[in-house]
Amino acid sequence: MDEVVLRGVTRTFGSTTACAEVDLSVARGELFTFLGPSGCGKTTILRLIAGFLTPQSGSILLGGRDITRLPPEKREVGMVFQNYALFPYLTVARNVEYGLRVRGGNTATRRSTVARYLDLVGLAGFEDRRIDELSGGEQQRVALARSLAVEPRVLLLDEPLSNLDARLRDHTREELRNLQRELGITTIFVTHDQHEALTMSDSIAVFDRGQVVQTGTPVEIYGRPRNGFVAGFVGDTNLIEAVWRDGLAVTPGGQTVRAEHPGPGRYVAVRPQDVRLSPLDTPASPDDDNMFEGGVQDVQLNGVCIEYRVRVGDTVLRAAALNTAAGSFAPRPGDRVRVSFAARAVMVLEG
Amino acid sequence: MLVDKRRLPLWLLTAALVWFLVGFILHPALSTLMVSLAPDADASAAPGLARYLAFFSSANGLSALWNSVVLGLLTVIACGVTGTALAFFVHYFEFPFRGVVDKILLLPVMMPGIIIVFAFVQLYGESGLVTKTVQTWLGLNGAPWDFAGLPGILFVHTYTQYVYFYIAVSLGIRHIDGSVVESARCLGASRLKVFTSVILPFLTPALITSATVTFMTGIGSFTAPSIIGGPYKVLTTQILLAKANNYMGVAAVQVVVLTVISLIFFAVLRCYERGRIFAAQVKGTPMRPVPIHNPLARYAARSAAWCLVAMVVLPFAAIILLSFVDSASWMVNIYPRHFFLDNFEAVFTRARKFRPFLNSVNMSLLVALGCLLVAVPASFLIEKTRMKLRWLIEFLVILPWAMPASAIAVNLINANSRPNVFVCNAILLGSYFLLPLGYFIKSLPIVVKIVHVSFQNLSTTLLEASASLGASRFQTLRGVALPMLSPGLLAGFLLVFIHSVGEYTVSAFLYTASNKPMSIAMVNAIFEYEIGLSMAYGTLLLVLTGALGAVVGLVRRDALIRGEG
Repeated sequence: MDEVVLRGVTRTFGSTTACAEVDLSVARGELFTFLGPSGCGKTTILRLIAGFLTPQSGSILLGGRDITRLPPEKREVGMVFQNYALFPYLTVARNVEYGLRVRGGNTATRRSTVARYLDLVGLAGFEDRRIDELSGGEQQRVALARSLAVEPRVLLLDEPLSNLDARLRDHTREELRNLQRELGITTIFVTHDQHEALTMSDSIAVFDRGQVVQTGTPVEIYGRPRNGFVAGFVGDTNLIEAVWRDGLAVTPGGQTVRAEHPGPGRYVAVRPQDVRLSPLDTPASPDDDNMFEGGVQDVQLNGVCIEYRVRVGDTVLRAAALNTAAGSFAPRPGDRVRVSFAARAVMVLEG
Repeated sequence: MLVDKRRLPLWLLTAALVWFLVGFILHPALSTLMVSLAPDADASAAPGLARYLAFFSSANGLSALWNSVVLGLLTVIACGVTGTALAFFVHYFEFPFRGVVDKILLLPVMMPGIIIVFAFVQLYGESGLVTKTVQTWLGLNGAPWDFAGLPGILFVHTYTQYVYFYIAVSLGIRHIDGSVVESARCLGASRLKVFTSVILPFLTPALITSATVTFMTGIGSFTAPSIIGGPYKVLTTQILLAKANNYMGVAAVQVVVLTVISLIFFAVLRCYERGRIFAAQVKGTPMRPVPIHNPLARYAARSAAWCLVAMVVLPFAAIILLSFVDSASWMVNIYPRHFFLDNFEAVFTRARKFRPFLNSVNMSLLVALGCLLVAVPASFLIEKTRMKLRWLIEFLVILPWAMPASAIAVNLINANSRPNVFVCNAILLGSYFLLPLGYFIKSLPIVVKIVHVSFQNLSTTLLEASASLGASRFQTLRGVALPMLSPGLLAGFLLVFIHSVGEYTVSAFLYTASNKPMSIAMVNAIFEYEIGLSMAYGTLLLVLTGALGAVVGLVRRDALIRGEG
């Protein structure tokens, strides 16, 4: 059952089209992520769902009800803003209580609801604190509790982790995901961080220049990107322009690449972790459908992985190997190496 | 259709505001322009520029114009040197009680000019306390200095207006990135080179803005020239003279000339400010005050600080002291010897003496409320909407800032001396309302500026957060907008009150028997040799403005703590 449906939604600002003919469906209870670079229209879509903007055309449905023209306060949509938008003159408890107060109801019920949600986000005991006494992570949790306390049908999260430092972001991401699963609330999450999108989401919509380029599960988006933009934006990729001759992709440098499912397609792409480096005298393995000789240009330690840049003809390929304690082949800049990858690792993509 | 319906209230609000602002700001200014261009009833001069030709060919007119410009320029130089030096002294060097000195140096900006002029007269005038003391010490036959004329005016201007430079340069120094200074030193720059190549360029916008504002205030100054100017005639005093003699055509020409000069500087300032909208966007480390290691220099700095405090506080102390003086007994002595409470008793027990106090308070409350009623919708339209006429509203509310107070008064007289369509064909000249209207126009830009900043700080996401939590527009207004705006609204209200309660220039032009304000009562008391009574009014003004100024400070500090400022 789809909770949120967008049909042909278009919104322009003057001569700039923020989103054009967007069609989307968000299933009930899932965490759906809008992923894309800055200015791609993802926040505009979020604001259209929240009711802060009205589309020029198209419709937005929530639980089957058309809410396109409803004001924000009547939409049953909760939103956590990028800067949290907490009311600085109210205490933590009063912030969380705000939405409940505007709905009326008795004080005792409101207080118990506030206590419940503050407990849920790990802020029990913070009721009387002022907002300026909280850390960024605590403010983020207050904003979350405030949005959840009114029990909206859909929770909208507008890059809520972007103001947190790296460690706290990892921790909060996990907490947010667990909370969403626990409450089963339909959640739309906006981010430009592919790592966040891949680790948190049930489904992802990748946006580019106001349009949805691809929708799918994280595994689908990462494993089968629809085009070069998605492949480049979601995860690292070696994207190589190619022309097709006799079922083989030919790169501008003249190398031929074998793909399991040959073209047509403007690009061939290989993930760095699928590119294997080995000494030149190593015997070929059955997976080495594509083999080249290259020169190592650069080596970067990236914690879990070691990343290599290897020049093969005119093309620079990136390869990634696990940085294991056991050790493995570790070439150094200037070394000549064999570069190989399997035909099934090669993705054929449109522009 | 839905969109149009939602915008209808905005259009109505815009139309009402434009009508009001045109009626009370633009129309009066144009009325004066028309009067200045109208032919004399009893002269054969052709309509047009005849009055202007007469003005520019008259020695008196040109002399007043020249004196005004010279006064403006000298005021800029004196205030620039004083204010900048003080700002560097307080914010560049480390010495004890810097914070206290900083606060005390801001005092003159809060106090009505008329009080300061009288305080200076009582201290440095021919029979002033300081003058007589120095004369006695030196055994002179006459006063060691002549406080009347240009030097006296300049002295008062320096005291009352150095604060413009002081505040701007202080802010500039506080915002200088200390690491930029340190990097210049690392690159081999001497202290002097750092000052000329890093610090000075950073402060240039603040200096130019302050200089322009000071010049505009200087040429429009009326209080000091009218009370201690003596033979030094400036345009503002000539305007009152022409008005008093009912030469409204002559007054109109003088007003137009003064306004044009002021407008030119105002326009230059706006253009300059727009071209210089840059700020250090990267977070830096604030510049640390430089400690003074030399014991002698440290002692000198500490002494200078206390001398400064004494100089700033002395006029206030003089007013309070003299408010308890028996005027009759003081006439025969250099220093007052008899003190009593009769002056205050007179103010509070005699209806005739109490009336000016009450009038000033009533009118100031009325004006502060009126300013908010106009400033809130105007700021809302300017900051939070995309209405097409926003620019016109912004222009009209800020226009009085470029008008000297005497020009505002004459404009109102010219527009309201006959039936005025903007007030249902009523004639307001001679009525109670013209004076508060003058205060209102004079104060409007201040309050709009403050309220506008409050609207800028009212984050749209807070309003959206409220709506997303289910609050209606009214609930959002009551629950989010008003609490966020209230510090700014209260500060604006109090500042307008402070500015109006001791106002003198507009009062001198527009007061009637029904609304004689405290400032006029003070002047009258001085001329009737009731110095103690005049100073009692002054003390009441000081207490009022001081208390309200403290409230403004608390409100702003609270807003800053809450992250709204």
